Amino acid sequence: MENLLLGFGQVLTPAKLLWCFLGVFLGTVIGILPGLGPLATMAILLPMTFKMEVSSAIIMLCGIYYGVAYGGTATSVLMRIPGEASSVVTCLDGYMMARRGRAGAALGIAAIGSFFAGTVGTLAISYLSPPLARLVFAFGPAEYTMLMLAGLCAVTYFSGTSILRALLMAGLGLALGCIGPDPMTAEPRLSFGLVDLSGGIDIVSLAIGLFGVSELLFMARRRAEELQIIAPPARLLGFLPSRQEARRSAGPVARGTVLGFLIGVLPGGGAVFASFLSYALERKLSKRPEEFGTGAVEGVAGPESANNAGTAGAFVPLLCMGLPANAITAVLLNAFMVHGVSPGPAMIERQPELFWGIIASMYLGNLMLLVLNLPLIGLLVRVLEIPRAWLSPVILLLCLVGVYSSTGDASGVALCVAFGFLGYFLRRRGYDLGIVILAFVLGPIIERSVRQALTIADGDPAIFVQSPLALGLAVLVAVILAAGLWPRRPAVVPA
Amino acid sequence: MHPMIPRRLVPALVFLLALIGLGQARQLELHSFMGPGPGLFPSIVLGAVAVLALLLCLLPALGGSEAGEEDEGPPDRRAFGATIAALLFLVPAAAWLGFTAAAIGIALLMAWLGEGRRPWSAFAFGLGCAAVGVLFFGLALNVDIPRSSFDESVQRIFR
Repeated sequence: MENLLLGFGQVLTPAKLLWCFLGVFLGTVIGILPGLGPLATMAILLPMTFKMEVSSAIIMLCGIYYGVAYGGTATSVLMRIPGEASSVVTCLDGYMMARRGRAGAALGIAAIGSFFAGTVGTLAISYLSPPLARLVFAFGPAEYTMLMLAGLCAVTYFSGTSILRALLMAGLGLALGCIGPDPMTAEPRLSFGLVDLSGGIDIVSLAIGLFGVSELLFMARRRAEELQIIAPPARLLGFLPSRQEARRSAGPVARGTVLGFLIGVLPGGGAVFASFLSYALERKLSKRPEEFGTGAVEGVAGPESANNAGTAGAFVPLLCMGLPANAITAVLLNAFMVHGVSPGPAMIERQPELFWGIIASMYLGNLMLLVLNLPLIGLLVRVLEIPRAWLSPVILLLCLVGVYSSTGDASGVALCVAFGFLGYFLRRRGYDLGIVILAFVLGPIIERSVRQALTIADGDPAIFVQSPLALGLAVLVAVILAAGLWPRRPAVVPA
Repeated sequence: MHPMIPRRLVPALVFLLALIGLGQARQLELHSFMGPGPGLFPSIVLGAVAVLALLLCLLPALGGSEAGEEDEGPPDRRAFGATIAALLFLVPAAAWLGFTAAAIGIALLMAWLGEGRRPWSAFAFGLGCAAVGVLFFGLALNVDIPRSSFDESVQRIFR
C-alpha cells in the first residue's frame, strides 16, 4: 500500500495526468479507427518520447495500449468492423445488439466492464506480480504448445457449429498464418510465387475483410425495410444498460476479468486469445446459449472485460521480468530501454517510484477511460441513424484507410476484398469466422513453440507429454475433442 | 441439385486449397541442421486440414446443420450489385487512382447506382469523404492512404 501511495504521489501532478490523458485519448481514437493499431501508433510515437521524461513517456505509451482495447469496441458494435484484433469477437453479439436498438447498452457494458477489468487487472499487478511471474516460468515451449492447442480446441468446442466445421475453420486460420516468412528463419513460404504474399497476410486485411467487408455485402443484400436498426433513445440514461442487462453482465464481467488476466500474463496469449476464450466460456455457461450470435449481452460483457484484463496481465512479465508478452509490450520494452531503464526485479528495487508510478497511472487511466467513453456513447450510436446510402460508402472507405495504412500498398486492399467475399460465402453457409482469426493469430506462436520444443528434445515428439503440465493439457485437448465428436442425443421437445 | 452438394462445397474447396498448399509445403525442408525446418508445421496443418475437409466432403452429415446467416427474403439486387462493383473498383482505385477518385467512385456506385440517390448528392458526398480522408487521415494524422498526384497537391496546399 505504501508503494502504491508512492506511485500516486508520482503521478498526481498536472503534467503526468496530462500525459496519461493524452495516452488514453489517443488510444481510444486509434482503437476506433480501423487498421491503425496500437503497435503502429506506439512505434510512430516512440521517437517523439525521446526528449520526454521517462515516466511521462511510459505513462503515455501505456495509456495508448489500454485505451485501444476499449476504442476498438465502438466500430465493432456500430459497424461490425473490428477496430483491432481483440475486438473481433465483440462484432458477433455487439453488432447484433446494435441492430436491436441496444447499441448504447452494448457500449455502456463494454465501458463499465473494461473499467472493472482494467482496475482489477491493475490491482492484480500490484499484489500478484511475483507469484504470477513464477507461473510463467513453469511454461516451456511444449507446455505452451499444449496450452494454445487446448485453448483453440475449447473455442471450437464451444462454438455454435459442429466441432468438425469449427476445426476446419481453425485449420484454415492456421494455414493462412503459415503464409509468408518462416517465423524462425524468415524463409518465404506458401506464397505461390506472388511477391505480395511473401510478406504474409496482414491481420488487418483478414479481420476487416472477413468481418467488415462481408457485413457490407450482407447490408447491401437486405432490403432497406429489413435493416431494422432501431433508433437510439433520446435521453442519456436510455443509453445505459437496463437492470436485466446489468444483472446478466455481472458474472461474465467477473469471469472475463479473471480469465483475461491469467491469459494475458502468459507470453503471446494476450487480449485476443482471452476475448475468444471468454466468449466460448460464456456461451457454455449461459442459460440461453441460443441467443449467442443474435445479440446476447454476455457475449459483449465477457470478452470486453477479458481483453482489458488481458492487456493489464501482459504488463506482469514486462514489469516483473523484463519479458515482453507480445509485440506491443516489446515496443514498450524498447521504450524503457531507450530511456535507460531495464524493467524487471531490479527496477522494482532500485526505481520503485517509476514502477509504482506506472501502476498508479493505470488506475487513473482506467478511470479516465470510463469518464471519456460514457458521454461519447450517445454521440457514437447516432451513427446507426445514418441511411445505408451514406453509411456504406463511409464504412468501405474506413476499411480502405485501415487496410492501406496497415499494409502500405494496394495488395492488402485486394486481399481484404477477397477475404470479404470469402467471409460472405462462409457466413451464408453457417461457418464461424471468429475461429479463423483466432487460429491465424495463434498459428505463428504455436509453430514457434512446436519447433522450439522439438529442437530442445532433438526431434522427439514425446516432449509434448513429458512434463505433468504438458501431459495434463494434452489430456484436456483429447477430452475436448472426444466430447465434441461424441454424438449428442437430440433434445427431447416437450409435447 | 442434390441437397448434399451445397454442403460439400466449402469442404471441397478447402480440400482443393489444402492439396495445393501441401504441394507448396513439400518443396520446403521438413528438417534442417538447426532442427525442425520451415516446411514441418505447414505440412502438418495442411495435411490435417485436407483430411478434415475430405471427411466433411464424404460425410457431410458429420458437419451438422448448415443454417447460414440472413437467408430470408429476396435480396436487394441493385444495392448488392453496386456494392460488389464498388468492392471490385476499390482495388484498382487503391493501386492507381488515389483516395479522392476512390471516394468519389465508391460514393457514386453505392449511393447513386445502388441506392438511387441523386448523382450530384452522391458526388458531393464522395468529395466530402475524400476531403476528410486526404486532409484528416492523410495530412493531420499522417496515416498512409492511397495518394495520387492530385491528392498530394491538395495536401501541399494545406500543409
